[in-house]
Amino acid sequence: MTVHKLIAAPVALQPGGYVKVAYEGRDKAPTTPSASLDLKPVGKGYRIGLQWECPNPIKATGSNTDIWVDACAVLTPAAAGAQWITMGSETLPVEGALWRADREDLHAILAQGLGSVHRQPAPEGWKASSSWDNGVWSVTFELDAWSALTAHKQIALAVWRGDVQDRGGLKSVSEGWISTEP
Amino acid sequence: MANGGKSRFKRRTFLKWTGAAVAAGAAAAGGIHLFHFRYDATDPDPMPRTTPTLGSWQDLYRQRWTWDDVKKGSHGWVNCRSACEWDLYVKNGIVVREEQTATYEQSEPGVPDFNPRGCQKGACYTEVMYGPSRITTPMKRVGERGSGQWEQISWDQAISEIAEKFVDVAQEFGTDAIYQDLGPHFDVGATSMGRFRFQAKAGGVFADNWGEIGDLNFGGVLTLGAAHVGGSSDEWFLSDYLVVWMMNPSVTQISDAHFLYEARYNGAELVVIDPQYTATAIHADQWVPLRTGTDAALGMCTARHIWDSGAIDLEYVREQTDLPFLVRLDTGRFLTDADLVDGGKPKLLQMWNPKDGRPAPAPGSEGSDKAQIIVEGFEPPIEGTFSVKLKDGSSVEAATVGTLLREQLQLWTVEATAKVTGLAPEVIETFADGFAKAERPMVLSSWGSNRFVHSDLMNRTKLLCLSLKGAFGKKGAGYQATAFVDLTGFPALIQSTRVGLRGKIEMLTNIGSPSEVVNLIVDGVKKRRSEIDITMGLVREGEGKTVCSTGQATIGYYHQGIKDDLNREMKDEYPRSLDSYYDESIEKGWQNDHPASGPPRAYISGGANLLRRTNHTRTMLEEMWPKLKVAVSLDQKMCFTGMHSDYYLPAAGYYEKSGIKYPMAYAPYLHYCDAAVPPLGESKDEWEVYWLLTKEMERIAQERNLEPFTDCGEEPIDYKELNKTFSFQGRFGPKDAEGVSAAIIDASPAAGGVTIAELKNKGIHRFVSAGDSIAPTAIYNTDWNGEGVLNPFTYFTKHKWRWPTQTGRQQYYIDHPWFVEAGESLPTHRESPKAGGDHPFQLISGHCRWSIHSVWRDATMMLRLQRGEPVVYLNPKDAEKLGIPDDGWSELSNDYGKMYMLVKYSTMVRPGVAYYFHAWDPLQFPNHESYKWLIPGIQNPMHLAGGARHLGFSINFLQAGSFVQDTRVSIRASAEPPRADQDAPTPEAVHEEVPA
Amino acid sequence: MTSKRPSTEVDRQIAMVLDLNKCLNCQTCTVSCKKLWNQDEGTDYTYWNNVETLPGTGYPKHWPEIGGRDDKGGVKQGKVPNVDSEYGRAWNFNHDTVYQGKGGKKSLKVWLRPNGKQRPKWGANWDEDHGEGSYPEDNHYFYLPRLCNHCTHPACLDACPRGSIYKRPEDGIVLVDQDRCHGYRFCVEACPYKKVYYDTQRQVAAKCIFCFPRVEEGEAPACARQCPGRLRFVGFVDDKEGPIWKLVHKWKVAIPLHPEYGLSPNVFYVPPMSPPKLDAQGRPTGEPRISPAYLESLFGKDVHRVLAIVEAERAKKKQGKPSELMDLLIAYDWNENFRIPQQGSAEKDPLDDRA
Repeated sequence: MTVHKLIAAPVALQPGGYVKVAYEGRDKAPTTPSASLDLKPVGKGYRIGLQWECPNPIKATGSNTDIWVDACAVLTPAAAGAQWITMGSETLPVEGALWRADREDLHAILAQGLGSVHRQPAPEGWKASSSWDNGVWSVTFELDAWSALTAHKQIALAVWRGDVQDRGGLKSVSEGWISTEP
Repeated sequence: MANGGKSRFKRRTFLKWTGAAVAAGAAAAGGIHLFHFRYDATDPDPMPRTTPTLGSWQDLYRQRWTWDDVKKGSHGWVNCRSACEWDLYVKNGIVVREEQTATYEQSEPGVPDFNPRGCQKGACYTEVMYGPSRITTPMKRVGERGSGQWEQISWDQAISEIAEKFVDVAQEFGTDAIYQDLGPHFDVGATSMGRFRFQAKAGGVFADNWGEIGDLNFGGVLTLGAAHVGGSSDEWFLSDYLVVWMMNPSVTQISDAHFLYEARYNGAELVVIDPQYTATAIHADQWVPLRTGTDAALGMCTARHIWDSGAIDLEYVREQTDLPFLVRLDTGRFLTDADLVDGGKPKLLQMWNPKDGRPAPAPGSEGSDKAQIIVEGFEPPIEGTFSVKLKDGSSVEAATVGTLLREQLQLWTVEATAKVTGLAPEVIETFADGFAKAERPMVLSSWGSNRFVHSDLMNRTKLLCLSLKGAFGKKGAGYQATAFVDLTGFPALIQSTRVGLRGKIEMLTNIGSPSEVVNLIVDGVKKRRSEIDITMGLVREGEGKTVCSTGQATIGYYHQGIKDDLNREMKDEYPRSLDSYYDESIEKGWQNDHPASGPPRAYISGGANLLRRTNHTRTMLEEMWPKLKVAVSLDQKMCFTGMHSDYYLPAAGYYEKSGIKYPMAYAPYLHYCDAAVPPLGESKDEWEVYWLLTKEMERIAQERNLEPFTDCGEEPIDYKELNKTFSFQGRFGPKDAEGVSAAIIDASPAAGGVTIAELKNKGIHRFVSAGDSIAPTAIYNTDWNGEGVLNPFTYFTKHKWRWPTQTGRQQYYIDHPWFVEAGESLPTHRESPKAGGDHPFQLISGHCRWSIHSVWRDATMMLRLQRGEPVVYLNPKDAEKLGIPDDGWSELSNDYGKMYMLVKYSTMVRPGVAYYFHAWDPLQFPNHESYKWLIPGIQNPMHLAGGARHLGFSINFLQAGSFVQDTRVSIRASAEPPRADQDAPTPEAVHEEVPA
Repeated sequence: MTSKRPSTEVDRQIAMVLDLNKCLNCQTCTVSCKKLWNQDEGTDYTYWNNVETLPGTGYPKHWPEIGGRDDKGGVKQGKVPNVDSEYGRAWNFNHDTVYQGKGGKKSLKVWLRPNGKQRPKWGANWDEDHGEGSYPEDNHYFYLPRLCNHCTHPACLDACPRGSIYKRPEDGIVLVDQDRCHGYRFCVEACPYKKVYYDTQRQVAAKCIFCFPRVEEGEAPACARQCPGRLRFVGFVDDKEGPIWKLVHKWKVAIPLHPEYGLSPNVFYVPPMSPPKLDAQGRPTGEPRISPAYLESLFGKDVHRVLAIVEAERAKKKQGKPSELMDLLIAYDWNENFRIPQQGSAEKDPLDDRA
């Protein structure tokens, strides 16, 4: 288990003309300053535990319009050299697993640059469990196989804090790729 | 649906699939073809509209605008005057939505067309049809009346028990103890034919509710001999001076209001006279914010100005009004032939002949044998006082009505009027001058103009302004107070024994004896009576012979337990007590007293929610209601009246049965309602229900071997043949509602021979005449053949037939002794009395925009666009003084009690007025007590008068009314009324989910 | 799957004109749209078309203060409105309890009302007919129907980092690709008219689609066709025979709401006239009740010019002279208000051969 400092994803990089102006300055400090990662290979796959502090959890939005759920994601290059901060690029994608507090099942995600994240239901062997206790979220990804992670041995983290309107590109992310090699 | 009504089919190319196969939401079954079709709703073989297999979010949206079938329909018996036709979209056997048909045409070039017609309520009737208050199984109460405890029963049981109770009531109390409020909801198709024919053939009391509901235009009755006058709404466009005077078309005439605003663009001046700054006033050129109830003062002043400024149309007034008629100054009565000669006719009225220097008979007046009003050989003056020699040799002074009127008008100077109305003199002058100078002044006065006890005076003054300007009969001018096209077949078939005949002939053969028929024909040929005269006469005679008719307010007076209160309220208003006027009226046969045995004993509602509407409801519930042996609601939905009934019979909804919308002059089209889907659940259309009821009553009568009743009319009523009679000698069975509608249309010349098949396809059909004037409607245009705008009264102004009044003219002098004694012979202003006691706020209502009566009042979709509960509107300054915040609770009280309502702030409300929109059901109030608990519903004794041609009871005619706008209340802040279910879990939690 | 930004270039642009001198606040437009598109649980609180009473708070409440544009057209942070206090929740009612006599103590009756322990905080039409001013001198209000403006430079399109919002090239209708949308709601924040909503069940943005399934068949949007006030015109801005071009470009009396946001809306308004104010003695002053300054705050400086033209043309009609503008606004033939050829057809527009 390692503790990783998180930074705010840079707002200026966000596509379109709104987010980068409306949220200018938000990236001075991350909404979640750090997260701990506990990555264990299990067979061909992995058990990835993520923990972070979250004072006001949002587990569901129900019929409300102005709240967002808590979420976290783990990412790996889908091709060698893919950048984490740009969510990959057209030729060098990234891929990962997205956990949302309001869903039991994971999304599998694939991205070719900012604003291009494609979600689909995760494969059957990908599961997650979670709990929030005493100000801390604990999320455990159980992935029966993740060839891209195995190949590229790099992982990045993202955490969204719903109660302060994190979503999309407003998130706290690891400072860079974290090597999975000991 | 296609623009322009052209038939188009066009194959579209394949829809390209975009994106991945992940569809957020339901996916359709496969195998649906991928074509769109351009679709023509008037095509006799409409094709369904389908969508491709749902592959994308776009397909989800496209799927919502799909259907299997389109039917034509409307909201058959709902009490809306606007009339609109709808395309009903049916999918999987459900009417998923409705949209206006909009196939009306321009009446003539230079006038906008009627399209699209139809409002937000019509656009969501399906919310009511399938909504939480819909009833679809017969029910019988198991708890007390009003407790809401029901058990479901079968139709057989319901009909059997109800029939037995009805027959019991007829036997014990007489048939006229069977009571229905015959309005305000009704149609002119099979549904209401079922109701009305039952009431007529079962000998029930035919209680006219027009006066009771407060919609009857007594000013119109007293002046023109007709309560509901007016033409088509596109005629409004042709006026150059539109005066909306006690009406709010933006709110209550939604489909027609556009003509006003388009007329403005066409150069017309729009004036709105209203204490409130209404949704119509916001579009006006002049808003005249007069003090509540002072409209007659403004009317008198305007009339004076028209006359004094020389804008009076002298020749018109001389010919068409009673201003030349002579009045005896000693008695205040019209000078008659009987005054002048021995054996003279007591009803033959007189004018002055200046050539001969003495009175001459007025042609067309009541006692005259001339049916036309043409005066030959001399020109009667409208002003003058003359010395007249009576038959006994003595002399009296007689003055023309014009002289007396002008004298009265002189009192209403601008200064005097300003004092009474609270208006600035400039505002009065601008209004009056505009009226005087207008070429085609038109006044629009609606139901709301009839709800003050002195509304008759107010409306008489408005009519006077129009008469002086020669407006009646002039295209683009006159009075718009909602007239009806005469669908002759409907009133005719209520009475008829058989079908197959048409219009007047139907009436003639069913009502008159052979000798009467001959006399009438001779009268017509010799022009002793006009056509319309004859048919209207038949109506009155027919009513008298075949039904026990009375006004609903009269039943209330005698049996609701309000007599003492109403007498007390009117104590200082008139020289005699209300009771003494009633006694004289009943004794002289001017008004009818039914039921003969006492209060009504059996009641069946047609969905008009009587208990919602009744004024002084507490007394109704305590006095009259408990005396009912049986109370039945035949209704599509739950309501307060239903809650207090013993049986609920589920009526089919508007889209589930054949119907014909009552035909307004506003849009002179027949509006047909087709059954888009079968009746929901176990509901039945009303024709079938009454068929079954009469069948069972007939069976019981045969079992009991009942003698025929002779309670009502001259014909005995034999219940042993009740169903046979009801069904036109077995011609129509229980499932023949459509056939009944067809017979009505067939018997109506105005329908121009259109068939049901055509109507099912098109929905609407333009009338080809204004009808036979069988019912006392008031279009009186016998020239109109369907082309052009429909403007009323040319029958009188062009063809010179006499008006249906005592004088045969537009009448401004009522010489009935009561009126003379009360000082109301001529129009004048009278202050609104303080009904309910001396309390500071005047409780004023308007018809609401969010419902037609209570039909949509509890519809969730409508309530979400309001505040969810009833509100009373206060000017913010008043509310702040009372310490009531917006959406705060208030207690309203007066001498009759108190109730609770939420306050809504509005700057449109005049300070001192507590304004509310009507039709909230008592079930929507704390304690289930609405503002009706505070409103006594005062009555005007003058409306009980009779003995002259246009005075005296008949349906839609002079009768007691029940007036609400004079009511006064006190208001104070209130704590929130205790909620009975505060601690109990609510059936459905609010979506107030706190994030876990 | 690329993040290429959607273009705002279009081949043709469809547009709508609303004449505020005819609005009745009947809300038939609101109901037509609602019944057709927004009856689901996730959109139960949304009214793609609404009508508000102005001066007033609008729907959602105080929307001009929480948009993503300032009055110079610059971007600022907007707010996603709250369903209870700003949109107004879609209340459910206790019909069953009331009509079946259930619940509550015998002596206290349950009356029909929105569910919940307290009164609702807000509703979509809460301040209907409230208005402003002192009776009778200057109290005033008017009605403003609003829908998505299908802007030429949509703020929502610009705001979506995923490029999920686009303009159709064939008619410029602005649409949310709900398969692509992830429900971030930057679009909801950014729209200064607050005409993008959030479907709380499907968790995607949802907005007026200009009834594209109808428009594709040559049928006008429901809000326009179903308006009994006949105040709406629909057509293409380049159609010189149609009322849109004439009112917007020829006569220039149909102007956008809040032009200062810089989004070039394609919904235009003919501004409202109003009766004169009264002085303390109740005499009409020369000034209209709705102050020109207030109208300017809504429609920009152009509004004064427009009102002058409308009054002048009306005066011509009063004198018996012709006026093309007045005839356009009178709309003698209602079918002429909607000029939408069926799309994708290379053939002649069938509307052209109507008699």
